[in-house]
Amino acid sequence: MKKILIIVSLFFSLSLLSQKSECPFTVKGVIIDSSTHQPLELTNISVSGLRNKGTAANAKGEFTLENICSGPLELHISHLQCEHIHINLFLTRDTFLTIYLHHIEHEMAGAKVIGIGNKDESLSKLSVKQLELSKGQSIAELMQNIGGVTLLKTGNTVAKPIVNGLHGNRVIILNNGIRQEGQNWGMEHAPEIDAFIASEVILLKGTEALRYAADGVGGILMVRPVSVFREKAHVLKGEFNTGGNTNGRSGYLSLVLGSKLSDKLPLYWRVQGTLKQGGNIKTPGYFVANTGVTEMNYSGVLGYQFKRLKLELFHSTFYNKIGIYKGSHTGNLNDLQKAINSDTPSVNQGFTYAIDRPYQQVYHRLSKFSADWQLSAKSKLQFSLAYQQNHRQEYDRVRTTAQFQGPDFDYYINTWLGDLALIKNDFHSYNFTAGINTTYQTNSYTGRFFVPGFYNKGLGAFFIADRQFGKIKTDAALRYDYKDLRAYLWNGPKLNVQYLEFANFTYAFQVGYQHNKQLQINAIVSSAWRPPAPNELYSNGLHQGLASIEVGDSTMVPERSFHQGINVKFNNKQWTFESEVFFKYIKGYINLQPALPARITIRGAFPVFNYVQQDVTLTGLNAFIKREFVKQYFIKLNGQVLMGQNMANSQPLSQLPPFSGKLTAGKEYKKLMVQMWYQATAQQFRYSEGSDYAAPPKGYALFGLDITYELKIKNQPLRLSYSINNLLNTRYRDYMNRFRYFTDEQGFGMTLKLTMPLTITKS
Amino acid sequence: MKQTLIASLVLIYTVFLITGCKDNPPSPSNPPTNETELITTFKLIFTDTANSRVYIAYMFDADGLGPDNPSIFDSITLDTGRVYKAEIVILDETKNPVDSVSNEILNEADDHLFVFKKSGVDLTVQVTDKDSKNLPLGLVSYWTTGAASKGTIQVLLKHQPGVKDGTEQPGETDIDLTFNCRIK
Repeated sequence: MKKILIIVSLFFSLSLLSQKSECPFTVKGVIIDSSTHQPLELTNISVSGLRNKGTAANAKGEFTLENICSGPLELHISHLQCEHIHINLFLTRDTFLTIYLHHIEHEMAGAKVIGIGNKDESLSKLSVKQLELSKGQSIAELMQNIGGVTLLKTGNTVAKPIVNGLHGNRVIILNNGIRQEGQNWGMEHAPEIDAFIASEVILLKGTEALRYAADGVGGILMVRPVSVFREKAHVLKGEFNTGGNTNGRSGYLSLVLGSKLSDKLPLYWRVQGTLKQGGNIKTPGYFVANTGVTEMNYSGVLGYQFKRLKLELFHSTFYNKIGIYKGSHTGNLNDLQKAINSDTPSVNQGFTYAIDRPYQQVYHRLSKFSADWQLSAKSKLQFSLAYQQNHRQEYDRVRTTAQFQGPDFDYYINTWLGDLALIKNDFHSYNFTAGINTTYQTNSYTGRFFVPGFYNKGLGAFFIADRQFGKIKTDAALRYDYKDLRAYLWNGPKLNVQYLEFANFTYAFQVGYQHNKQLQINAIVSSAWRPPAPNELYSNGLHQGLASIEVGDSTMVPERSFHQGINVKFNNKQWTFESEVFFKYIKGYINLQPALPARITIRGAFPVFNYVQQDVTLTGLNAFIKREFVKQYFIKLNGQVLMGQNMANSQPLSQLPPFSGKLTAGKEYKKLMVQMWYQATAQQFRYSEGSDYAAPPKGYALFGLDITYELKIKNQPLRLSYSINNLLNTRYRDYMNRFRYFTDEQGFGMTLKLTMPLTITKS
Repeated sequence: MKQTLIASLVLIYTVFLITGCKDNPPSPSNPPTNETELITTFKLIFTDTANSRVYIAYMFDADGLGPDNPSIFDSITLDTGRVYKAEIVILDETKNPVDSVSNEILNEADDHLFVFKKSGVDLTVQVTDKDSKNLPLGLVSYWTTGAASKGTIQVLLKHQPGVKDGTEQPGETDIDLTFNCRIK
């Protein structure tokens, strides 16, 4: 979020004093961005105490306020979503003001979204409208509204984001500036983040991604809350959210409140909490047994501003318990095959909120201290120290006897992260960011073996610079990382300690050409690398949900990606268009491949999948086009195509999302928005034979409807929204859902949501 | 007043931070402590009804579902024209004392069913023990051998909590072992 900091105001006398009226004066001015010296349009200027006296700067940054009285005058100036700036004047004549606004990224440098015009819509960012429509959904479901992001689901309750076909260890999620560290490798491990904390969700793919990590081969998804330093004194601000969905009979409550302690004491605070509960999901034919969810989260943040130093303490706790469809935990391969061949679920249950085995339960806690030191108008120093604790428990279906009650898997992963960055803008016409990231991580477990206990250290140094040459902007970033891994492998009473070290460079180079206000073209070339993860190296065990045995390979080397992409954006009054085409070559892509023979256990034979490294390519296109008509009608089309090829065996890469598109049409009135959507997903024909137990499910199309309405009851603004999902109660299965073998997807459902912004003025 | 407010805010915050650290994870280098249910041993104890001679067919897999295949997997060799009483003993030998899984199965007889499937051998298997609903269990069975022959016998344990109806179909498979079998 940009923050407006410095104001320089100059007084110029324009005309002679006039005595005829009490309010004879005109205040004119121009708003200029101090770093680019470009006028800033869409800046709001209002007069304190006078409701109707307000205006917005035009395209040239100019504004005019007429009929202003003599005497003291307080102007409020705000640009886009940034906080207000106050200018106090004593007016004795007509006045002309030149106001310089200096933009400084507040929380994260390099997190700027390159956008043109004032259109909110972008491929790499969740729009405010979309964020509001998605309230009550999980963080991954929120992310799927970003171009190229689809979901990898496990049933209807677990979802994790796939970015252009890549997921798990290849997609990094930043929560409040801190890299989310859990058991990311698991396909059924959803990101442990409260979606209500997000005020912005952005996908970083360019040079700015190197600020945070080297191993974001797929991309970095950034989730950001509103800065606590935007809270104000004398007023308690917040938001209350509640809603429910008929399918699953789920409901949520969420409250956020914050304020500044007083005018004199620059102590800011905010607290937030969310409760969620849902029961068994209904498909068009039946309820899916044991698919309830419970979620409880809270967070608190304290901010203290000492002149140019901003200090922040943040803590969040996330807890959830997710039921897993019982029939998915099959006994052995024969049971799995039987389940796949059956059209109806093997376990039947009516509606219930109760969650029985199998289920997963996760506690995720994050504590963070950060400091932001504004060294000068153009440079700042950022420091953060964070501690994260992720405790994941997985309770499998009760086995032979009901004697054992505990979890089958119990993982603890603790991570300490330190981060230091220096940002310097306008330094010999360059802007640059340089710094280091450090990580220290421990992983331990009790219960069944899947991933070993380990210690893991990381040190990364980065340098990012950009420069504007007229209409061309160039960005370059270089990063070097060192990582090590000490893993403890037990074979009965014998301990085998494995120690591995990795170090390498990451780079990105980007050129942007801004043809005019309407057209912008960006090209990017980048390369990232990722060391093999502990599960890929050492896992050796039964993957319950898929009745398969996964075997790691301790001799694997890091995988490296080479990415090239072109992004074109165009917008004018009627049209908004954005498209990106990319080609990725990944050397030593780590993938599971079926292997023979099957492994004999007491429970029967299980197929074995080995982790292998192969060279692969990914080619894709993500695009959207929107046309706005007079009277606020709009129509919008989104689409994505992705193709993966395994170069080692000339087979298509399996487990990639098929082609999908979404058509939305609607009307936005002042306070009412109505839209209908149609979403189509094709069948995935590109998969390699023998990599799957069943052929990919057929394509499907879904209809839906959203209505939002803003109203006021006794000065209290309210926003109501009503949505219908799967309007025609279509029965379908999705290729990217790991439970496609067992159950249909969610059927018809209606949601009703209420958002209540709160403003409590304290005397 | 203001100081009190700040102090209490900071205090609340500290409580947040402290409660955030209550989990005490084991050390990454700790040896595994697998308390989950494991089956390491499967024994079929045959008693010749005519002369009370005992013969045991044995399967042993030290790590259960883990990476290693069974270290012992006997073939069943029976004499022609006999009647054997077959009793099943299932153990978890990783636990101390050794855990008898078959006793647990007996306690939960209403949820379990053993199924015997032969292929190529001249043999009939008759399950004689029953659960509380008079449905077969299979921890005890009688095997009547015919002429000399060779083939396999598959032993399945079906876990059928709440859905047991005496057939193999419902529930999940907990044990699926195929023994080579010879009658001579």
